[in-house]
Amino acid sequence: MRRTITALVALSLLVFVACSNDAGSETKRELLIAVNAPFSATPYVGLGIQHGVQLAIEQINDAGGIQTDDGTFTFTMKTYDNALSPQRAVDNVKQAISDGAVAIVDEGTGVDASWRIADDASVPICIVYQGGTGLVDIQKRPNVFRIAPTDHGIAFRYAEYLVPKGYKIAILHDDSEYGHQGAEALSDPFGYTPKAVAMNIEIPAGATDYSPQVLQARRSGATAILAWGIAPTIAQLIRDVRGAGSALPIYTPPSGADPTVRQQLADHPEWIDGVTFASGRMTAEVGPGPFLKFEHAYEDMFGRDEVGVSTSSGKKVYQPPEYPMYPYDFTRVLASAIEAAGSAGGDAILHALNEVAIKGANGDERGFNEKNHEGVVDDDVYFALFNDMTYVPVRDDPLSATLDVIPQT
Amino acid sequence: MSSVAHEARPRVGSALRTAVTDLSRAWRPRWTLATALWLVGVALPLVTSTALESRIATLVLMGVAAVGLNLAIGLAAMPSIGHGAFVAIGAVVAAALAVHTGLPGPVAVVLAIVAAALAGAAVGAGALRLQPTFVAIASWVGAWLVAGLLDAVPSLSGGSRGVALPPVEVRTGPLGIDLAPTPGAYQVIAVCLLALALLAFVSARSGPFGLGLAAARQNADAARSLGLAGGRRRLQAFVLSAAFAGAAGAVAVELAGVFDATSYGPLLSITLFVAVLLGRRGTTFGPLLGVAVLSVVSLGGPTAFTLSPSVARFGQLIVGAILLGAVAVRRGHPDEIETPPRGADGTPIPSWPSGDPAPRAPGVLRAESVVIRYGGVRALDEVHVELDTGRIHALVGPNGSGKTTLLRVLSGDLEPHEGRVLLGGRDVTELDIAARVASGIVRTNQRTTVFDSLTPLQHIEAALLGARGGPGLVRDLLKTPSARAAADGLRQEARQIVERYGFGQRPAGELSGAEQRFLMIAMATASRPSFLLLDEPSAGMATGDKERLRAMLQELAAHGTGVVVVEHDLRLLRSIADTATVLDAGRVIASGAPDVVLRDPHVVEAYVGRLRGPG
Repeated sequence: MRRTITALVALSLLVFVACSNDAGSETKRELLIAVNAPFSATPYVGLGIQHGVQLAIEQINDAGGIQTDDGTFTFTMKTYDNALSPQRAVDNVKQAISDGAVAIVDEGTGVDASWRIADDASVPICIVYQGGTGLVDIQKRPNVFRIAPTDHGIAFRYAEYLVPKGYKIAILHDDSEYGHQGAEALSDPFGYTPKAVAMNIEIPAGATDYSPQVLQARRSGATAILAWGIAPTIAQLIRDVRGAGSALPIYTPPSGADPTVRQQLADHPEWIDGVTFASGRMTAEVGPGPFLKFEHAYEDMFGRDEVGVSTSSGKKVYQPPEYPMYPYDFTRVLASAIEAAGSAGGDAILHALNEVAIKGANGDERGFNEKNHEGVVDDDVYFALFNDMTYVPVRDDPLSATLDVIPQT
Repeated sequence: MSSVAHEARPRVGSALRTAVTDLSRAWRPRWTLATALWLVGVALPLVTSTALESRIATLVLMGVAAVGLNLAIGLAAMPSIGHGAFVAIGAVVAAALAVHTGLPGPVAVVLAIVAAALAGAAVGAGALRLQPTFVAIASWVGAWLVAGLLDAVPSLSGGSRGVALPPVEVRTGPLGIDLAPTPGAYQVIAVCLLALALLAFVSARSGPFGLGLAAARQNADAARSLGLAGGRRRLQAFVLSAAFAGAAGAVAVELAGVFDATSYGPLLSITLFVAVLLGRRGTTFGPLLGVAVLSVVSLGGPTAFTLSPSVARFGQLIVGAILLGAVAVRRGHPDEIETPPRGADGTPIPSWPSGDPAPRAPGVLRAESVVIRYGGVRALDEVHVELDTGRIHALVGPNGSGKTTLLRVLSGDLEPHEGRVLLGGRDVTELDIAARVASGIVRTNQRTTVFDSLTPLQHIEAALLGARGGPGLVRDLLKTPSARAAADGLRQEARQIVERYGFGQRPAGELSGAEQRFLMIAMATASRPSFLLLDEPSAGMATGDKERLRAMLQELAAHGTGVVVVEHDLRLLRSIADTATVLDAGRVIASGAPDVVLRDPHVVEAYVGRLRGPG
């Protein structure tokens, strides 16, 4: 009993020490940007977001920081692992606010609950990965912004791309949050064309065998598969479709471009050929120049992101920093907003975020206004298909056909 | 009306004074420490950040669930590895009510607690008859069932997206003030809830309720024979335990603002279980120590500290290692039922009152045409016996003749396949042991069955509790005046018996074999039964002890108790028995005065002859 009491006292003291260290943060000339992302669950996404923010911070600080009426500020960054758990994501936001973050760059998990906590502290949250409908709502969630392709945009683009082809589409979405959001987004445009949908079912995320569902899809008379889920789901589904000898065309959301998919299919590289994914375009009307410049800076700082597979000729395949572009852009929008506000105060930043715009990494204009907190417009969604472990924009879609091929080897 | 109020005032004042006096007498240094820790917990929001408040509150709520689990494991001996499921039920019900009905937060919490308690009642009722190992397995399966249910019904759990709760507001009604609890407020709520859980644990353990559980936990056979089967008490403890788990979940989900099913999975159940084992089950503060240790290293459920992913990935491994370590060390149950001080108020223990009261239900105990079959063997075959109060009746016969079986039938441990048992003309055939004890029929076991870590005083209290019943969980937890009066009366009566028998204050496990046998008899006679059924009471006794036993039994009979003795010591039987019945192969072969019956040639052949025969 005495030992128990002693141990409890010791732990209490430990907590007190931790409290006193935690509570007394003083005002600094550094502004903290919190990155709340799934570093342990999907490192590719987490690190991509982290690198995008890090690159922007490096460039802003090197350029002399942010000039305001209150003086010059520099950015600093801290990462928080949400492990794809909404509760941990919410806890992270609380911690980030306690740490004094002026903004939270978020993958999207848990925003349904965390936005309110951040709003109470006048801290903006910018979602840079998930495209779920309802995550951004300018009326209800005035502090939530997004720079990432929306599921709604991808769904509509898929409808206008696939329906005219006369496909009978089997929609398979997994039961992850990502899959649910995709299913919700698809229900709208494909609801208008029910004849184009052969079946629509939910499958378990990350399962090791989808053969029964693939058989069900084939029996439904489907002539194409639209799969919406996390990367492991997409990889296994492709394996089971092709492994069954089916040549049905397969379409995916941006998760299809995740290196994990190609790694898992490295033993059958031919199975991924022809798989198409949708994503936000990397290059703009001005051509590939701005993006290539961004990519160069990115690779200078972090090296090239290896996909972990090679082409048939033995060349290593590299992933273009497509998604890091979004957190990079938001960080620069944030810096611009602080400069415009002339202050690092939360309310001033939130207000200013509705008024500034910058030239984004790919040359597109990035910014928000009082009526729109979406930084990527739906028309920016393009399609790309895999060939020999790399991908190229499709040629049978008007927008995609105008885009340049970004080197990946 | 005014005179009533006038009379009530001094009564309330007196009760308060008594309570304060009792509290000051019972105060221990560790309670000073506990109070200090509670004050620290309540005051922490003054110095902590919002995020830390949330983490501390989450950690404290884990402590609430662990203390609750300790009620099940430490007191009710029901090792649940599925208590995370009750936390999950509390959380998901609170979340669903908040989202779908818009009920105020406190109301949602109360309903969530009720839901968890109901789930606890369902699981507990099913687990009562299981051995501890199977309780663990069944509860573990239950944890997975709840996890599977949440996974299968995303409309309830929100799937991997979770369920975001609307902000909690507490409306004060007439005052017109709406309060939105901050994380600091939740921290205070959590600390208070923990204090409540600890008080409930201590209260449940220290009163008659806890004594009944301790008896059932330490020696189920002995407890059963005293009518302390403990099923109801164990179930109540389990339900209370689930309620605390549900409360922790409900408050935690309101604190987090989101229900995330992954935070309430089976790993949470394991974490709670390990916390209780690690901190030593059955102790008051042990589970808190376990939670504190695990929160530093673990990832099962909410954690107080954020670990880097590189370290965090070993969290489950560490929890598993700690579990193995805790099991390997096998730290025994402390059974912290405190030995009551001898004359706590300093007054001498009153002497035994002159003259024992008469047995509660005088009359004839009769077995009519009783048949017990074990497969094709008739262990009792048309047995008929009639036993009077105030007399000593010997049951003799060779091994396997059916003596113990007949005692089991008379005591309610065994229901006859044919025939019936009557007490004072009333058919009691279908009454179980507890009901027979309450009717005045008490039996001691053939084996020495005492509660090793309990003192003789506690043994007698347990016996009285078995015969008369306790005040019930709620009254015992709240220590209501009637519950206190009942407990005081029980203890006072028990003290008199202990004093009379001359038992010391050493735990029963430290007594000699003969003293333990006397303690068994003292327990059996504590409630002044009409009939006392003794199965080989002199086994292992020296001559002097047998003399004492003889005097004791004769005194009991003289005071009106009917004593039925199964005994192989025929000399002892001849000296004390008024009548004797001889059984052989399940049949009564002789009955009457001992001297006559034991000289009957059939008896000699069946009983004595066999004793002298080969083999």
